[in-house]
Amino acid sequence: MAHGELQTILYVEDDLDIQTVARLALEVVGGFTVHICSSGRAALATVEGELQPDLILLDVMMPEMDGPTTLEALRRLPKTAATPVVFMTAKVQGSETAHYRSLGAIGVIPKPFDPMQLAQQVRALWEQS
Amino acid sequence: MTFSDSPVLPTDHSAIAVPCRVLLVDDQALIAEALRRMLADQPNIECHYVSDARSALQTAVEFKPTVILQDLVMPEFDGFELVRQFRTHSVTRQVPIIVLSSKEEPKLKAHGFALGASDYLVKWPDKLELLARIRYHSAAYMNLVKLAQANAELERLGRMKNEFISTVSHELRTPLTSIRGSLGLLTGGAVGQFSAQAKSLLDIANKNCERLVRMVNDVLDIDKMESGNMPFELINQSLVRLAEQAIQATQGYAQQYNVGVQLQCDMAELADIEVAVDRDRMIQVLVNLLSNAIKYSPAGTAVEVRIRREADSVRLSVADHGNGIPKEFHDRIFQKFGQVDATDSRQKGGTGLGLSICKSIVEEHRGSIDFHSEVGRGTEFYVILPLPSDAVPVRAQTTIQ
Repeated sequence: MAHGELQTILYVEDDLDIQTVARLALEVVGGFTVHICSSGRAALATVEGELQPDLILLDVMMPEMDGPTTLEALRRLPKTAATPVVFMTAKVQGSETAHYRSLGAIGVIPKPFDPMQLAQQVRALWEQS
Repeated sequence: MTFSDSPVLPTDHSAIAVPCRVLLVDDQALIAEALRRMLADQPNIECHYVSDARSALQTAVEFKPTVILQDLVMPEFDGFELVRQFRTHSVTRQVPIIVLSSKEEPKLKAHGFALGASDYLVKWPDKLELLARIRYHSAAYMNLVKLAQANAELERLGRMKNEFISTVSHELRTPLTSIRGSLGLLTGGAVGQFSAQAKSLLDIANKNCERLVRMVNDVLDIDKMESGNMPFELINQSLVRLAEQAIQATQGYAQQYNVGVQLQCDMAELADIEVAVDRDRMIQVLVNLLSNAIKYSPAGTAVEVRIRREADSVRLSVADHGNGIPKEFHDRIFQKFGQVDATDSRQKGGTGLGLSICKSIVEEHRGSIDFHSEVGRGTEFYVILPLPSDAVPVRAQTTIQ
């Protein structure tokens, strides 16, 4: 896939504390612009508006609409049909990426993540995709 | 010797207390009637009679006998075939079968036992003996049933335990994400500098948080391994390359302890040797062995990683020049939380589960892991992995020559 620069990340996460930590890790350490939504529904509304994210970081376990369901809905919107998606989840460790890739994600970052490495991990997945 | 002294039979009293449900299969009405009379009015014995062997299995499934008493020679139906049928159905598979035969013939007896009969009586059996055998077999069967129930219950509890561990470990990860994230950003300097005291406290909190994360991961690994839910993807690959990756992954750690890591192997010998391994899991093993060797090495020494080919396997070892493992701890080194010294391990940041996980992973690869250690001189852990069978014969020969 041809890439421009990875600049804008849409981060979908229902835990407010993790939102704060990840925002700092991605903005301060990584230098990205981060938009945060607390639910899959809010994420859909956001991308139907102005925002065009370069990459979407999706929490897997969220009430109402979980990560995979949100991904499916995002794929149906023309704007995000091809946007790279990375899952973040406490449900897996290290290498169990196969399942998440089969859902259409370019990778998965297990929680708890290393905040000083998070931006680099996201960038590496973006560059590989 | 009195009857109650018999070591094999249950005492009269306990045997009578067990309810017996006898299924009697005999196509000769007269014989069947005589047998039924023997069993009639006996305490705790209920008898159900089938004259047609063809419907015996169905009747057994409904009646649920604790013992089956069946004729061997029936004009309409082969008694051996009936034994075989009982043994293939889940309801009657374990129900004791007493075969009744008119022939005292060892070959027939042997054939009956081979098909799954539990006992063989020659007609006419003595009433006392027949009752004793019926009660004995029923009691044994009921014990079997109880054991099976207890076993199923244990399995259920085991599954619940695994689910509990898995849920708890996952639930711990969410708060740990915020804690690790906050401490990591603070100690990593992402949000400014702190006083030396504050920094040292944050470093302590961060170091212990990292250890907690490793423990939660290790507990999950153990749980997955023990419940058989750890996915393994075995792909033929070079062990040398995996070792290089593991060494690279522990480079920072080695520098922190001022310990060198040397890879020693004969590249010509190992050039095209591949072993079927799960890449991530095998790197996990090597990183674990390397981290242990590094943290127990005196500063300024080197850890040696050696790989060599053996007849039908590859041997990879990680050796340090540390204090060695005292003999009295050798037996429990691969056990969970089997560290030599708990205080020592806390200071070294270990979880106490690493080597147990390594052993499970290596065994999942049909390999073995062990160690030599000499107090004061050092320890060598080694992993032996089988070569893929198609790689063995030719190469093994060249090695011997």
